[in-house]
Amino acid sequence: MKEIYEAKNYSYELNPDMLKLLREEFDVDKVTSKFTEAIKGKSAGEIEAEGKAIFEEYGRNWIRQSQKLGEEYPDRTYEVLLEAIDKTGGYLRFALAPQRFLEIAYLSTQEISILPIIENNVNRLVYRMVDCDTYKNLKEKCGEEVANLLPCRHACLTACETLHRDLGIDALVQMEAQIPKDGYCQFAARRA
Amino acid sequence: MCWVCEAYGDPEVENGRWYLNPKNHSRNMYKIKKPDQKAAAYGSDPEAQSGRNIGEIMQFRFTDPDKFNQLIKEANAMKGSGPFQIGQVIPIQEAYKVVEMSYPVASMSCICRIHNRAQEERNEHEYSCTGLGVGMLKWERWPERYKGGVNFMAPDEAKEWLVKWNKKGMVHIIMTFGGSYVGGVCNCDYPDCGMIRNRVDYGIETGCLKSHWVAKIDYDLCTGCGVCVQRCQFGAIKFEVTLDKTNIDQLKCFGCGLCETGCPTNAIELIDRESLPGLREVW
Repeated sequence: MKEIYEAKNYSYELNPDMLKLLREEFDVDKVTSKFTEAIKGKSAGEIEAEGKAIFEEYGRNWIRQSQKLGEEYPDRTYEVLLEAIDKTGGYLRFALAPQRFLEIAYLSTQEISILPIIENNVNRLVYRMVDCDTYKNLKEKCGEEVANLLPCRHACLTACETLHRDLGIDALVQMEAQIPKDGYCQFAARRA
Repeated sequence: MCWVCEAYGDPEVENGRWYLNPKNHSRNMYKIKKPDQKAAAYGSDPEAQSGRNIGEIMQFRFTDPDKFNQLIKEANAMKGSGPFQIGQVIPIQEAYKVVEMSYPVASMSCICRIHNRAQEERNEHEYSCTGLGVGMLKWERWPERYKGGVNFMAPDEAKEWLVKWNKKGMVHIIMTFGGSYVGGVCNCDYPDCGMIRNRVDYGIETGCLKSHWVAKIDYDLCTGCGVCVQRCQFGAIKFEVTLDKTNIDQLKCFGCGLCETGCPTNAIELIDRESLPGLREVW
């Protein structure tokens, strides 16, 4: 009984080594450079197609690696979440299990201290990117007009869809807001 | 609409009720700290800060009553923008919605009963408080606060848990833990509960706002059994000898609904506080 009253040397935050590995592998500077190179001399339609191809692949790999490393580098918050899910039923994995991997993905590759979570309940997971480095990079390298087409949305949408599919959660993913119009991008996964 | 709903409610969601707005139940799980950033000091959490601020007010209760009253006025005027925890009474029907929406939901020990009664709740059979949301995943960071641990509950289990405490006559109070973030729904009674006590005894409103409901009695159905009188924690119901029935003082009523759930003849119903002109600004 006594041990219950003592603080343990757990880490409740994300493992810095894991974040570093992801940051190096999924550097937004690299993917935006690749895109910039690929669209040189291309028409608007071709730019959209290039963006879709490049960022979808990036998003898929980014979230799968975030999930893989997230499992390899557990923290106490995640362990307790798994205990809670085990106790209350697998249906309740949504929204916190996908939320964790999304937080890992964004916190490792963006210069943000938290991923703003707008909703996380049994029906919906909604999160927001306010000061997006990918968008800023695109604006810098390709100009505002191309950046405002948001080719990068394919990365975020694919990441969210892939994650839920891989976790076996039937969810409908939508983009609810876009930086050029709303000042931030917002993504929502609704349990189908 | 109460001032918390005005600040944190969404008119398009659940009639603008702030505690039924999913946004107020949502929070990130992780934070990246800067390399030189130290963890917040013990007691810097909103719950502890609020307790400390109220403690500072209380010290003037006998030594300087004028200052005591002035500080309470100032605290009430802050309306949650200051370092005071927000709490609001809710009836069990709304508490059900809260435990359906929030995850995880866990039973845990009541801090007020430890402080005010030296009554430790040591395991899940004794716990009376309910923690909500991602903060519960990190409960082990405060082993002294969460003595005995926590017990995670599925929504149906949580509803049964609320019914258990409601039957015992406990008031459900929804509590914030930093801004509008909903972190718990407590099962409270007077004088154990610090928030009820602060409100009823000293007039500190922020931690125990009245609910959006108010109880109304149907005299045709009331048999004068007096169960509601026993269950009211706020002294709002009395037995009217001349009527041989009970009577509710709606100005005193906190809208907890304990009289409604306890009434054997269904003579009491909860009505929207804002439908009554004299009560719509009484929180």
